[in-house]
Amino acid sequence: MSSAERRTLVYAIIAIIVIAAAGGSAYYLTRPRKPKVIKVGAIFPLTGAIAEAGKLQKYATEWAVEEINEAGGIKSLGGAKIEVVWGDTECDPSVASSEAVRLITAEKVVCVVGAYMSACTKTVSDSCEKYKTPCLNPLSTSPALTMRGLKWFFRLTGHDALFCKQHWDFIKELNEEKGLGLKTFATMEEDTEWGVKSGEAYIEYGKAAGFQHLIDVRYHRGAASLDSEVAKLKEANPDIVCLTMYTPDAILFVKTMYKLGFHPKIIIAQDVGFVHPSYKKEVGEMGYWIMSREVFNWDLATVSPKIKAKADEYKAKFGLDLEGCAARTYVAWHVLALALEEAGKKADPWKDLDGFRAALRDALENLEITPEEWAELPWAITTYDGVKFGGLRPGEAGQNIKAWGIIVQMFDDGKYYTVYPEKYATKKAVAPIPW
Amino acid sequence: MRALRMIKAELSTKAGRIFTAAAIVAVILPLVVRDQFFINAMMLVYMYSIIALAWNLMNGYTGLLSFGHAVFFGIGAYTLMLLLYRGVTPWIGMLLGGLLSAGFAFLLGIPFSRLRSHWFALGTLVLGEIFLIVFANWRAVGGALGLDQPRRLLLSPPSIYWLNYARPTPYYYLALGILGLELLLLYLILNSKPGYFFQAIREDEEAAMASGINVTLYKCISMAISGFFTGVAGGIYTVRFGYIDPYAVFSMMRISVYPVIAGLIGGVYSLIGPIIGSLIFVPTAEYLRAIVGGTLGSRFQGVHFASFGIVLLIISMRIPEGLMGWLEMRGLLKPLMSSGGGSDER
Amino acid sequence: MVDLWLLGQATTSGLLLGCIYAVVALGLSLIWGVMEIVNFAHGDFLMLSMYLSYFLFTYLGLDPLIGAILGFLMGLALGFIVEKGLIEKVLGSPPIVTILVTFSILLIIRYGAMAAWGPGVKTLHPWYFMAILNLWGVRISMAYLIGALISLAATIALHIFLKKTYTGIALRATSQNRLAAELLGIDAKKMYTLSFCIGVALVGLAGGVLSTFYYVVPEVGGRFCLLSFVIVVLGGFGSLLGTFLGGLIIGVAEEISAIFIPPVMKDVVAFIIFLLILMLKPSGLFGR
Repeated sequence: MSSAERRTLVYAIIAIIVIAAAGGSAYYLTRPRKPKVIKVGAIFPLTGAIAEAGKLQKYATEWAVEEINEAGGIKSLGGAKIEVVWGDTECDPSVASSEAVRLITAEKVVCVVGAYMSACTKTVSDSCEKYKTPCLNPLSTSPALTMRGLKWFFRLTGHDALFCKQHWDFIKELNEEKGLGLKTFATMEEDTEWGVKSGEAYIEYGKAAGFQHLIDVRYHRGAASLDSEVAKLKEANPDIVCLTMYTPDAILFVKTMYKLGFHPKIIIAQDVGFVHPSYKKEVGEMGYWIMSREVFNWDLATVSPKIKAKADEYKAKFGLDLEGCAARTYVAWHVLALALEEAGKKADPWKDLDGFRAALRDALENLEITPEEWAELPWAITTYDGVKFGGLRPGEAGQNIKAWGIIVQMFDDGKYYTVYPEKYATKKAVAPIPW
Repeated sequence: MRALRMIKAELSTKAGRIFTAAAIVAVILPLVVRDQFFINAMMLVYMYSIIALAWNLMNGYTGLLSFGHAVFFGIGAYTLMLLLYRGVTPWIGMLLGGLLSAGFAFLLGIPFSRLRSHWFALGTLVLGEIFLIVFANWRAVGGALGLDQPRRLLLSPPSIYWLNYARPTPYYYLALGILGLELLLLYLILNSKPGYFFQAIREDEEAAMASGINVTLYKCISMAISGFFTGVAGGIYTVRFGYIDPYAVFSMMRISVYPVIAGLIGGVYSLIGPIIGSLIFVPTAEYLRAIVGGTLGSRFQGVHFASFGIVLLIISMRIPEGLMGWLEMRGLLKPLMSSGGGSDER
Repeated sequence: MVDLWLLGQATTSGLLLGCIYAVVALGLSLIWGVMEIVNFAHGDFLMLSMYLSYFLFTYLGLDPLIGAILGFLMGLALGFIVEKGLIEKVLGSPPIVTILVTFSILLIIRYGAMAAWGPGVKTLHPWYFMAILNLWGVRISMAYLIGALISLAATIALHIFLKKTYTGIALRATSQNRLAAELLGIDAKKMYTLSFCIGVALVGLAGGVLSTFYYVVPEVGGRFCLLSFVIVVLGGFGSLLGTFLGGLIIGVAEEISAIFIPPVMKDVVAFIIFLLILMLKPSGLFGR
């Protein structure tokens, strides 16, 4: 190659490099920016004994977050979208704690939503408290959770003591209205924290309502037989029976009750096992006339058009009927979105994570949704009277004091109908049970 | 001292050098790696290693297969927590928890020593279940509600006296330190008279009895030592998580079975085997859960446990001597304190 | 003083339940007796059979008792595959290996089922569950009664098989002394396979029976497996009669103790009985 040709080649190469560099940086500077995301941790029992509930919560989370993001994300933070980071409690409190630590420190979430089982929520909220990260709990109902003096823990749903009070208000009313002459009650629950606390609340409020407590039967979860337990109940012959059970035991209980011919006048249950889709599907006529507390029921859709709209949406998306677990989780994410909006006005999560977490905590604490506002919000599909975190009993904090539930009863078409409170009721309660 | 000379000799072997290097890495790890989840996972590895090592003293060295180590763990955990309520520092709580477990284990050995392998395994399994149900219904120790750490501890500033830190790092060093101590103690014990007796019992119980060894006594001693360290591990768990309940600390799957799996993977015929096993097994479990459980969880629930099962099956069928045993048989490495069949230099 | 009715009901329930526990434990007893291995996956074969019955009932309308027979056949096939493929290979190994092999089978089956069918609870309602027999106030569900009768029949059938047929005698010979059996021309390996197959088949039968009144979940095997261990040890190593009686004893003990002590503890009662037998007479009540 002659020197002239060589020089041309060198200039050509330089030109190419310059064009490439210029073009590249031009492209880089003008390419569409990846929007920032807000990471929120979601810790649910995705595997383990209560994985069914975890699945429902996962669906509800995906549903809510998609809705929030499509509506424009968190506007005060430039339309940033919420990104869910999942954690699995495996229904074990120490695993839940580890997951919380991972989400908070490694994934750097701005807050944690979860868990389900009260024991897991306990350790998750402890971790959140230590790391000064807000923890929003949509579902755990153990009363103890909001009695620990924690500052970063917020529980949106009502708790068992609240619900029990509602139960007994209802039963007392029913007793007087219909002149049933009910006097005695018995309690039966599983030997876990949830069971024990719920049983205690039943007893406390039952006695306060003027009824006599005859016997408390406690069983070990997953028992091979509940014959003796139910026989003891039958022997005591209470007018009312209050149950706290998970699905498998609920099914076994109902079958055993039928088998042994135990016929109390009223049977009322603490949600969970008795309202689970599996239970409803499998129990058949043995479940008729049993009442339970709930925070959501399909017939609310007949009473409230917005609930109908959301229930249809959920069914179309996931092929399942909307129920309490999903509804409460869905609502929790929307409440969180409101709080994120508030916090976003004051702090920046990408520049100062700790500051943002503190702002979020303040936003949650100051959040207030009145009953009127609640009625207007299209996503407010649970039976709360709004949102306000505080305490109903001395020493309580972080509890949504407007989180009331409803009472449902299974009629002889195998479906649960709302019977209390009146503003949501679609049928009048049937009592005593027409054996 | 003879002991020091032995240790020096041990450490100068190929395995010993690797061990020393690993130990140094372990000590400086938190200073280099900042990921808290990782430190937390490593802390769990050490905690499970403590249990696995203790468990293997009974299994690999004395021939007592236990499926109920959760009992010792739980006793340690509850002791520490209950003492914490009475204002006793967790350091003493841990020690007393270990001693209580040891005492219980020793007494347990008396009736259990005459049980052969399957029966011993089943007996310990059932004992674990009994403890779970009893503690879940024993109101005086919290029952099903479990025991929370005293509230003031949760909210007060961290201190070494109360071991109430927010970050996992201090617990990392606590677990590592106790693991090191346990390793040293077990090494010394296994190289002394009781250690020889343990192995003699494992090899052939009748022959051991015939040579004048008080089999029952030494089985009890082995169980007591094993129980001690497992109880201390229970204490570590309690200070780290600040909340214990019977379903967690007496858990058959999580506490009793984990060391068995770890021991199998790492190899039960060497001292270091269970530690290696824990090193492989525990992080895998933690990370598997984070990945599989988190993303596929709701649709493929249980997949990660099923895959554990497959892995376990392959290992127990193909390499029952565990990783260390396999290395030893291939002549690649003579693990520390190996006691494998055929080990005759000691 | 405790109500007579309560006692009567508990005893009756206990006896019937005990019979059913017995048929669940029968297979374990056979396998343990002949092969000297503890099959930790026992409860999960039970679970598989229960799911089989459930699916047959729900999708084909087949009575669960037919499901039980099909469960028996499925058990034969499954047992064959598992034994030939896995168990046989580790028969000579130290106990920890066989224990871990069966334990990993437990994990695979139990969590495989959870992955395949989800953790949801399923039940079925055959008409005879709803048929109640009322004897002086003590109520018995036909399903339990039928189950108890099947259990009795299975035990007797097994007993006849082992005592009167050539194969059965060969099985017993192998369990008593393998070397001597082989010297007599018995193929020990075949005997082991056979016993494992029958053992799993029996628990397959039991699953069908259980599904007539109990719920079906992936974890259902756990409780029954543990109870089976207790019953086999109680009844005695190698004794069918012992297993049957062991089942009855445990059933009755559980139900009656639940009257006098908090019902949560009734499992503890069974477990303490187990430990006592272990200490005092490890060969069990009727064992050799």
